[in-house]
Amino acid sequence: MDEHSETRPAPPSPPDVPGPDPAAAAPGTAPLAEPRTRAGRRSLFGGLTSYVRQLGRDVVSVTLGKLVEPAAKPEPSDEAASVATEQQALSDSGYKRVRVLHDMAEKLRGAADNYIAVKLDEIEARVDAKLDHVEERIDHKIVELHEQLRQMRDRELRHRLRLLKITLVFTVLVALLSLGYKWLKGVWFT
Amino acid sequence: MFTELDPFTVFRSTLFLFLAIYAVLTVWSGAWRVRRVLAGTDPSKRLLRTYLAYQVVTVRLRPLAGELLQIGFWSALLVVIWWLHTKV
Repeated sequence: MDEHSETRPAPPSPPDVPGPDPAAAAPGTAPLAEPRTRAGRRSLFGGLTSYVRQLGRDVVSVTLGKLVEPAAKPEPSDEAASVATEQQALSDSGYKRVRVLHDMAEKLRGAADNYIAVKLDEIEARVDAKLDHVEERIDHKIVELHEQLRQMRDRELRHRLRLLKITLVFTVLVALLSLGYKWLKGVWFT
Repeated sequence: MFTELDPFTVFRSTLFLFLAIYAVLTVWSGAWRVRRVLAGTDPSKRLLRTYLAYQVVTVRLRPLAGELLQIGFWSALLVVIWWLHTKV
């Protein structure tokens, strides 16, 4: 689990200036530097993670844009200084609310990243267990086939040796016949 | 000249000749077939050769001891009978 957590990308740090993130406002323009150490299995989950992060950024940017929009409206220039001060106070309170919301959004984003990382680790562990199980079955089948081949080899050797023995027996019989014939010929024709 | 030939000797020599030719041809064709199957540089052939070498090396003679003892007995008997041919 530790080695997987090392390869996870760190959650993005909050920006210094509150407000909508220009990179997040344009979907697809913020590249995620995902380390693809395990391109095979991580590619699917990495794409899913990127999609969820981008979705979160879009939601946060839209929310912040709506909150900032009233404060960014131009004020008429002929207002009095008190009105300007009041507007400044309103603007400051708006920025405070935006900062609080931004901090909360960042915390939620970090929690979501952690949750996704934990889930990815769980899925990876399950996939690893499944692969180990498949490898164990393949190894077991290889051992079984090897044992069958060994038994077939022994049976074939025993069969060949039996054939050789039968050939030798008949050769000995013919040799005995030849010996008897030679002996009889020597006895009768001398 | 042919009247001096022993028919049994002719039969024995002919049988030996045919069986010897048959044995040589059988062993040669089998060896050639095995060589053709095992020849090659691709990994599957190498693996096959390695596995066959492993199978040859790991043959245990203890399960085949009975057959080997009988073959040894019949071979010794054949040698003795052959030797007796020179004494009769």
